[in-house]
Amino acid sequence: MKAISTMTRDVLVIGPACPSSVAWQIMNESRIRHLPVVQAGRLIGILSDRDLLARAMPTADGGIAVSSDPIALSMTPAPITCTRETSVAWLAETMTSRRIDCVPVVSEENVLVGLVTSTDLLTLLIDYEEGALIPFDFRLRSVDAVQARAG
Amino acid sequence: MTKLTLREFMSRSPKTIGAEQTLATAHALMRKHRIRHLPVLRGRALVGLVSERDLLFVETIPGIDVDRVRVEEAMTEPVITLSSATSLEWVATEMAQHKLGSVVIMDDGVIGGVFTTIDALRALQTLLARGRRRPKPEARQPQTGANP
Repeated sequence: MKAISTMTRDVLVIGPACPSSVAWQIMNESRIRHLPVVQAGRLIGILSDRDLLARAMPTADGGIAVSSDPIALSMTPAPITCTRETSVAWLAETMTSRRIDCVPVVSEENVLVGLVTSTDLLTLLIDYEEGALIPFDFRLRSVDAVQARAG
Repeated sequence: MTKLTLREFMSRSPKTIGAEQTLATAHALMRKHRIRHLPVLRGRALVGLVSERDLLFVETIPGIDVDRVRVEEAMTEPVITLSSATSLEWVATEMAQHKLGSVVIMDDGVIGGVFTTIDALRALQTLLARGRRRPKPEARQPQTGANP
């Protein structure tokens, strides 16, 4: 088996103290639904748009207001993870059976390496290989509250 | 090599729901059949698609009465419909590029099924299990994109 690293995935990551409202803004602006939550490089949770919606409030104009509570209160701690050595077949089976849309990729020390989403796997239907490992390179980008507000 | 089409991998004969039905009814139907998407009909015409995510989004709003709010207020429209003879590769590309969770399969004006991200992952499992190979990694084009 071999890993083929020809596709690069940008992965936005966020810290646990980031306000939920900022995370919501990042998700909407970047058109993403999941943010890995890291502390000192280690994965401590995964935040989905559903997690934020579950604590949202309606606004007078019919919109949705997400609180400024830290995302640590909304995230799912200790999510299912995989490693660089995980097979695509395992990922497809796990996402299907556990009904999850993404799996963070971590090292043995639980340092975040990347994130594989169901959309990523869709692309493999076009170009799959028997026994293949995760065929992506990852480029982590940390987005904290200050960057988001400035950006 | 035979072209792979949606016919082999789609979820057949999906449940549907009326546009005037309530969110509670839609959710109950999804739970009962363990599905995440329902084509929405007005009369016999396909007018939308409602996903579990759509329902959760609306239900999140405090004060929403799921026994009164209609499916048509939460559904996505217009719906993308495709023939079951559509190429699997083409659909996978479109779904990935446009971040679509599902498409409705319609042949000769009749809804035949849906093809969702879950169906796509099952298709990937099936193809990997068959052991077919698509080598030539050098032919792949570099791609970039952020976490969907």
